Amino acid sequence: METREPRPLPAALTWDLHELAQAIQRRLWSSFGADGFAYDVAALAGDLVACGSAAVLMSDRGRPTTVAHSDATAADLHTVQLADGDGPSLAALRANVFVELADTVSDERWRVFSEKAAGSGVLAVAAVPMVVERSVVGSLTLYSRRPEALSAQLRTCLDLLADQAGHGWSSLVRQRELGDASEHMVKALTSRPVIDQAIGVLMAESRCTAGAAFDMLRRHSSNNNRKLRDVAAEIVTRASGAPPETPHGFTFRDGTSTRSLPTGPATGRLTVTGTDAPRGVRLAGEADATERTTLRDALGELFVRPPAPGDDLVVDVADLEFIDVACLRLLVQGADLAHERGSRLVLRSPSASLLSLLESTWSAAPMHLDVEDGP
Amino acid sequence: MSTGVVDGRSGHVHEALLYGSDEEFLATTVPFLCEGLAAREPTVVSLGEEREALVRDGLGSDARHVSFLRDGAQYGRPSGAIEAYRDLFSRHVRAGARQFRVLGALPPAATATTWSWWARYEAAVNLAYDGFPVRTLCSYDTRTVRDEVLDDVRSTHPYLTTSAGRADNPDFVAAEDFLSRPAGGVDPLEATPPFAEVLDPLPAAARDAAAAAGRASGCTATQVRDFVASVSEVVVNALVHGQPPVLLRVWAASDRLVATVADRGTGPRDPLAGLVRGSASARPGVGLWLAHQSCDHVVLGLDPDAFTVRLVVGETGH
Repeated sequence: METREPRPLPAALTWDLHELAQAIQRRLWSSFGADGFAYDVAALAGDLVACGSAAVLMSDRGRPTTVAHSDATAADLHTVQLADGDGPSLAALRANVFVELADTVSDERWRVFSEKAAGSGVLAVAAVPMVVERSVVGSLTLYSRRPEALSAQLRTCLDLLADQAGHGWSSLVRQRELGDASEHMVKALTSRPVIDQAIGVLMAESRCTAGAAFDMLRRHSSNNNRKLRDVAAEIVTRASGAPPETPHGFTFRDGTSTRSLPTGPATGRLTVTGTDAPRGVRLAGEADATERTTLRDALGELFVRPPAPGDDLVVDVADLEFIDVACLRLLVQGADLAHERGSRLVLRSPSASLLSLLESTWSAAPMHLDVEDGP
Repeated sequence: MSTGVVDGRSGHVHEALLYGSDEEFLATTVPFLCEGLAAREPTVVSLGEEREALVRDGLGSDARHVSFLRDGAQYGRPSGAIEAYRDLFSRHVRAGARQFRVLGALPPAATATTWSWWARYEAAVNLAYDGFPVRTLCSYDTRTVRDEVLDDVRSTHPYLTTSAGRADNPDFVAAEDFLSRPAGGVDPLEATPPFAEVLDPLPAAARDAAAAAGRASGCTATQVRDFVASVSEVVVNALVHGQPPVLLRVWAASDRLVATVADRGTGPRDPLAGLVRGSASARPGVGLWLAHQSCDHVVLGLDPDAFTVRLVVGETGH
C-alpha cells in the first residue's frame, strides 16, 4: 500500500514577510486605538493558514486578559485557558517560550484545553510570546484546523507578527496614557488633507499647539526649499509607515499593487450626520468602500471622548440605501470596540437587506452589534 | 483493509469513483460503506434519489445504520456545501468519532451547467476538509458526465477508487495549481452586445449599471438586489487588489443577469477565496464570499492577460 508524507502546513497562505510587515504597519495607524489594533493583529494571524483563528492575550498589570480574537472559536479557547489557569497561550506568556501542539487529539500537556480544542475542530496550536524590551507583555496564539506541524516559514511569520504587535500595542497604550496627545495623533492620521495630518503628527510628537506645529512645518519647508506638501507627506509617511492617502483618483502605493480608492467627494453618496442625544451618527445614502475613510473618521470621532459605561452609541441607518462589506466591517469593529469599553453600539432601523448582509457575512462571529427598530 | 488512519495520515482522504454501469457503482460503493459500518464509523451518503435507492437495495438491512442526507440541501452552492460539510464533520469530531466517511454525488445541474464553480469546489475541499479524519468518495457517472468534467475530476482527486480498491491518482494536480488554470463557464449571453460596459467604474457607477440591467431583465427585486451587491463587491476587489484597467460588462435577459469584471491582475492567491467564510474582522475575501452566497454561479477565470470574475443570477441552465 502506498504511503504519503504528511504535507506541511501551507505557510503564509495570503502573505509573504514583506507584505506582512507592511500590513501590520498600516493597521498600526488605521485601527481604532490599541484594542482595534489587537483585533487587526488577531485577524492577520488567523489568516496565515487556511481557516485559521487567532487570539491575543495581554498581561494587564500582571493579569492575563484576552484583548482580541479573530472569531468565536479563538475566543472560547482563550476563555477555557483563563478559567483553567493553564494552557499553551498562558505558558507562552509566563515562560517566554514558543509553544506548539502539533496534534490536540494526542497532546497530553493540557487535557482540558486540548479536548475543548479538538472538539471545536482545532487540531494544531502555536503560541508565541510577545516581547518588548526583554519583558513578555503578551502572547499571540494561532489555532489551525489541520493537525500537521507548523512549518518554519509560518513560525517566522508568527514571530514577526508577535514582535510587531507587541511593540505596536505598547506604543498605542503609551499614547493613550499620554492622554490627548494620542487623540491628536489619531485625528491627524485619519483626516485629510496631508498637511493637517502632518500638523497632527507634530502636535502629538512635540506636545505643541496647531499654530506652533504649522510654523515648524513652514520653517522646515522654506529652510530646505521644499514644497510644504512634500514635507508634510514625508512626516506622515515616517509616522505611519505608509504614504498618505491620495484624495482623488487611483494611485499606486509604492512596491505594491494595492491602490487607494477615491474617497469623499469622488462618490459623495454617503451623508454622515453627528447626533447628540443619543450620541451617534446618522448615515444616509450609499456606503461603499470609497466612503470607508469618511465612515471610519465619523466612528473614530465617537471614541475620542470615551463613551460612559452604559451609554449607547447609536448608528441610525434608516436612510441608508446600500452598504457594502467594507463599511459593514467598520460598524462591526466599532461595535467590538464599544463593547470593550463597556458601552454598546446600536444599529437603529436597519433594512432587511442590511440584516441579511450581516447574517451572510458575520453570523458565525461573536457580534456585539445590537440592532433595534426605529422609533 | 484500511479503516481508521489511512496510509499513515488521519486527515481528509479525497477519492473519486468513475463508473460506467450500475453494477460498477454498487461493486465499489457498497464495500466502501460496509467497511465503514464494520469499523463503527459514522457513514454518510448524499446522492440523488435514484442512486440512493440503488445503494439502499445493495446494503439491505445495513442501510438503517447509514445516514442519508437529503439531496439538494447539501449541494446547493459550493460555499454552502463546504460550510455544511465542515459543520457535519465538526459535530462528528465533537461526538468523539475518530474516523468517518462520506459517499456523495453532485446533482445533475452541477455537472451540466455550473460545473466551473463545482470544479473549484472539488479542488478546494482538498484544503478545506483537511484536518478532518474523513474519507470522501465522490461518484461520477461516465455515461452522462461530459469529458471536460471527467478531466477536472481526475485533476482534483488525489485517489481513484474502483471495486479493486483505492489507488494513487497520477493525474492529480495540487489544489493551488488547479485553481490557477483558466476556467470555462462562459454564458451564451456574452456573445451578444452587453447591456452596459463601464471602464474603470467607481463602485457606485457599477451599481448603477447593474441596477439598470436589473430593471431591463425579468429578474425579481431580490435577485436584482443580490446582483447589484455582488457586482459592487467584485468591482471594489478589482479596483483595490487588481491591476488596471478594470472593465465591467453586464447583460440582461428575461431569466437572468450576467456580469463580468475583468482586470489585468492575477486574481486572489488564496485558493479558497470566496468558498469559505472569512474570520470576523479579516479584510480580504468577505466580498467574494458574499458573491458566492448571493449568485447562482460564480466563475473565477485566469487567462494570460486578464483575471475575470463572472457572476450569474437567475437561471443558469444555458
